[in-house]
Amino acid sequence: MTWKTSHYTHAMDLDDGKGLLYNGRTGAIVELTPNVFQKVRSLLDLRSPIDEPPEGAQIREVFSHLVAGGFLVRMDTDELSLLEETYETERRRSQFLLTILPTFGCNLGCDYCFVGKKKGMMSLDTQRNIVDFVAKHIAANSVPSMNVDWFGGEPLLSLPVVENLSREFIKICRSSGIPYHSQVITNGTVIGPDTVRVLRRSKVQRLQITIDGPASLHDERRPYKAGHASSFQAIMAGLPLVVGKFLIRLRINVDNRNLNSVWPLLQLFANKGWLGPDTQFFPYLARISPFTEACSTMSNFVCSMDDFYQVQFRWMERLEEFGVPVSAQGLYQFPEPKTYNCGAVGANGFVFTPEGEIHKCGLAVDNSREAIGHVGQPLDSQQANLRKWQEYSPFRNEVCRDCEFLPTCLGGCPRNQIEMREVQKKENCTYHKKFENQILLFHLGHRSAISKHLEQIPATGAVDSSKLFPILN
Amino acid sequence: MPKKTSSKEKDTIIWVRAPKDVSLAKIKDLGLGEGHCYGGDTCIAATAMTKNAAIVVKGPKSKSLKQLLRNSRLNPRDVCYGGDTCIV
Repeated sequence: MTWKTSHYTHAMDLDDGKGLLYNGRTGAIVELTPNVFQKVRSLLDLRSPIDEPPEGAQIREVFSHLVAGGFLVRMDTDELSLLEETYETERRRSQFLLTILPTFGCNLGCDYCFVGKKKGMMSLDTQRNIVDFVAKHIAANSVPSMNVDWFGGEPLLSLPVVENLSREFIKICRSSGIPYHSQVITNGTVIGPDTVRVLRRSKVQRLQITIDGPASLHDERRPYKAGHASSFQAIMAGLPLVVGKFLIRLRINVDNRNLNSVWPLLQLFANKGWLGPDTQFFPYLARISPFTEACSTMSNFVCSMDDFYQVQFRWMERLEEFGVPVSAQGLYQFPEPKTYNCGAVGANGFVFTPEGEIHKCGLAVDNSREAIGHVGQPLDSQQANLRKWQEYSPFRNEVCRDCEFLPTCLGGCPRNQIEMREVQKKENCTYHKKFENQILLFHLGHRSAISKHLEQIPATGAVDSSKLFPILN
Repeated sequence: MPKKTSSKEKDTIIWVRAPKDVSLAKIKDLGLGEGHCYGGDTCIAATAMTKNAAIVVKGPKSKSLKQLLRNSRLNPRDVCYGGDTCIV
């Protein structure tokens, strides 16, 4: 039997001649001492078919590890076909992932918000129709679990809608034997004891709350629409009620106006006793980019990826110093092979707006022309917007097909690809080609190897913009 | 945790994460012993971030993966949220 090096094997130099092998398709990671790494690298660099080493050969024992990890694959293995097959299978049987906007209304007026200017709260009639949709979908499809993201507007301004729908969803899942998970994406300004009681009753497990810096900076970026009260102080009053009761993802949106002003927040959280191994409180940085027309004015403020990751690595180091288990959290980008990469391309992913529109992409909720249907009416499988998502595949893109980061990227945000958003697509490529392996090295504790790895990458991030993402028809 | 070593101590292979589709039997064949990991709802093998660890056990070894999944009410097909829905 002959073998070849997997297209998705990455070999990285560590200190003192040691090396790291990482395979994006299988997820396998091994660390090798200098002697082994040297032999393995020579083997992996072979362009010709690789023969299995004979009994007794020094490399033979290592060889079985390389095969087990998928670093070497049989000569006749078509890795791209295997990836595509998994992608198509998994998107068809994806988890039942609902994003529900109980209201478009929000008490804050953030300048970078991507949700447009729509208004309105979900009616009882729309709620009934959503429950009906859920019951029918679960009855007709073999879904492994149900996951609800409450989003908006500010979803906690419509707490009765969250409570009412959750009660019905939990009933349906219980009778169908399906696990139910849910999280709320909230600005955190309206959390009180009653909110906590309702959320616990509604089986909400996670909250995503946004703070954009110390009080003055946060209040400037996330002001109330009416009045001059501090939204920062409102969040700080609510957080003690939820830390320890829910998993908290504390999102800090950063751009070049606040990137270097985030540090006092860490000390503040530490002083409150929220940072540690067991508090389930995870502050993370999120780089703002202009997702939709509604936030397109933000493009002048977007920070470079180099600047962002310089702060991001230091941020994660500081969290570790406080005992926060960053490596165990997907938030901090430890690379994982994906089966499919977005609810919008999954057969069981839907977004519901307050007026009852059904969408596939949460970033298009303010554009009714993007809807794939309306609750209370059967979905038309031939509807153009729906077909657009069904027919999308990163495997139709020649650049993606050839890319050694495809298993962890899968083309990035499908919306960016479908709408040919060149800036976003280029940044996605840069993230994987320039930063994925660095992030891996970081999480594995090889901090000094990060700069060494960077030196091996051209300053451009090795992204040829002229070849980016021609969508094939 | 045990490290996989070849005949010479200096020639070391440290497994940090094994592919999901590698069987526990295969992991044992590779000399990684009982140190398998149920590192997550979608993960059958190891996710260990400890620098000098081989494969870190993140679930009780006495329980089977099936048992752990049943107890956690998770499904192996759930998308992994990178740890926070993890059974360990």
